[in-house]
Amino acid sequence: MHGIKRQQYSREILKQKRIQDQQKIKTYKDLTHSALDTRDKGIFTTDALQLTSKILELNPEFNTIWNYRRDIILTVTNDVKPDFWENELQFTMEKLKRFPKVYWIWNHRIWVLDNYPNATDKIWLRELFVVDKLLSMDARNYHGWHYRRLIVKKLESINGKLMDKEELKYVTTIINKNISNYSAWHQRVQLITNIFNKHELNKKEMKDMVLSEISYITNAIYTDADDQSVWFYTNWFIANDIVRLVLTNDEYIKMLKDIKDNVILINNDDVEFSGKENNWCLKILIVIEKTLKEAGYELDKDEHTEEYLKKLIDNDPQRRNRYIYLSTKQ
Amino acid sequence: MQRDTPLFTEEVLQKHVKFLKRHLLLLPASHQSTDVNLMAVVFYAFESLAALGQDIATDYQSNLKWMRSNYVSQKVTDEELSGFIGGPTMNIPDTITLSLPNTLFGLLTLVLMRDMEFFDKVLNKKTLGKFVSRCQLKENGAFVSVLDYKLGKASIIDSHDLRFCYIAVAILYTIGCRTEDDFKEYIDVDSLVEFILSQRSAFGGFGAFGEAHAGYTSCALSALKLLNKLDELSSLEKEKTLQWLIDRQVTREGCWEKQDISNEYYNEDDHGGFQGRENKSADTCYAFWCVNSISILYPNLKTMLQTEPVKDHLLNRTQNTLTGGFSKCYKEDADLYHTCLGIAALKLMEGSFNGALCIPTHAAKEFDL
Repeated sequence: MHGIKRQQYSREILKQKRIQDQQKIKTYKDLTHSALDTRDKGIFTTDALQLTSKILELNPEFNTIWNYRRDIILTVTNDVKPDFWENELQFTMEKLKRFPKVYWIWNHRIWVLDNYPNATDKIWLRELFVVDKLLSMDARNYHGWHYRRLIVKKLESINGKLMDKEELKYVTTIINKNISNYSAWHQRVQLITNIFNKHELNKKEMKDMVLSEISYITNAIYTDADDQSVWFYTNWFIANDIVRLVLTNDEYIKMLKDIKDNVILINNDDVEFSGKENNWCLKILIVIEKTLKEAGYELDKDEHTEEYLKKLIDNDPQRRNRYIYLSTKQ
Repeated sequence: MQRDTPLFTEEVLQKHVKFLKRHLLLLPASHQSTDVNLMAVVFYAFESLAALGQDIATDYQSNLKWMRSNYVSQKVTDEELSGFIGGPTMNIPDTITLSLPNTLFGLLTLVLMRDMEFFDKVLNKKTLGKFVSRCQLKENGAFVSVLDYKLGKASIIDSHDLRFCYIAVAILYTIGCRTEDDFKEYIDVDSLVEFILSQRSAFGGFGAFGEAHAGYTSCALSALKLLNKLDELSSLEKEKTLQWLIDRQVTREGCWEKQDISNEYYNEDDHGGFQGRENKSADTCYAFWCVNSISILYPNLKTMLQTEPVKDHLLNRTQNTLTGGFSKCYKEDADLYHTCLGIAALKLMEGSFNGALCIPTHAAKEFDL
């Protein structure tokens, strides 16, 4: 009895849902048909614009409609009120807040900024602020970082001045707020690389930059020795060409040895405090030893890679097969 | 060789089946936005049911016509293209609404439905191939997912990334491409491979903007595998990528026991699960993306990876034995996408799954895939 009633109930709900769905499908179909029909007729009016707004509300990923919207805007641009473009920016912002990962919305926003009449660098500077807010909501949003790089590029071309150093300051603030923001460290890699490759830094400036970076890294590994982002960056920095070019071989070896000593200290602290080795320390010590050898430094009795691998097998048992495999390759 | 104990009790299995079948009847409100992507919903549900051993070809025989109806021909300028649209709402006159992802979902759904007749008699390889071909960008060899509605061309301002590159290759593979010449009939293989390689991260893995990501890595490796171009990667690159993937597995053992609780992305109860990128939380779907990637680089999977903890993580942490299905993580509700990939990961580790195409091995074998 109970079962039969429930079955009928579900069927009724199903039927209602089907009717609703049919209605929704019909509405959506009618809207899109209407929009594309007006588009085909060459109609680019503010009424048509409203139509596209309705569709994008239902489906912000419909790029065809974004395209049509842009065509309309270009047609009516001379006849709209002065606050039109601000409203358009607001339109995209409202969408971005709900769909921060929909590429087409970011794309449209940049288009609006590009076509904003009588624009100065002010709207782009403001955009940096906007991206900052969005990144603070989700610091690992690829689109956000990529978008930021686009804005910076625009500002650089408007002002004729590179902005890598300012961006380095920005990324440093982000990292200082949250040291485990891998995307920010990743951005740092790109910025440091750009600064060296694009700028005309003199020898002293390059050296100062490298030394300041070494000290930043040293600080970071002491601040949070458990965070993989920090170690990822350290790993990149010590092995990359920039450092090898700027420092003499002796200075380079000294840098590696200094970091090695610090890492061993941190690891010993961890062992003392918790009884366990620090995974990241062990891994980077292996990298440092390899790099020292490549730089021509004789490790002799000071070589402990085999021992580190054995410790990793004990300390990171989930990945032991991997370490055993690496061990056999030594 | 000892047989694995079954993954699910009959009771739990039926919960999953019910959860999946419900999606095919009645989409929950949260899925409304996917009305234009019904083919995705259908594929995720069908793939999961097939992987669970359900006979969907029989159970959904009456829906075959609807599924086939999403395979359409659309004309642009003077050329006819064919492919799948997302659902009936997307059949708009004089507009190209074919989509690459929906085309793959459609084809694989019909494979799962064992609809040999579709492939023999209905599918127009030439026009389908033309659609795929048009989705490739001359500028960099990558693929877009949809064409410009007016011109029917790929536009570089549209999203083009490893996902669509993988999907294009998988589509062509499904319709019969095996050798390089087969693929070259439709696409520029060299520029595609160049694009895939351009997405390598210097630290192992593949991703946009140089930051590796497990989903993109799986797409890149699967595409290279289907193209038979894995050796475009050097041994060193394969090693770095393998290491990167292995490092994505969350663990609470060894030195990880003392992981600071204040690290908001680390949860020791996610032991065995996989994260998508450094310093992110474990998520069910990454179990599939990572395990698939590892199995491509190192087919002798169980000698490199500890699969039991992965299994435990999925079955005990993200499986929902009350409602059925799998969720993204412990505190979320089960959803179709994570259910599909959670089951896929389990079956892949069991050895009964074709990871590169994301369908059960038995289904793939029937169509010589």
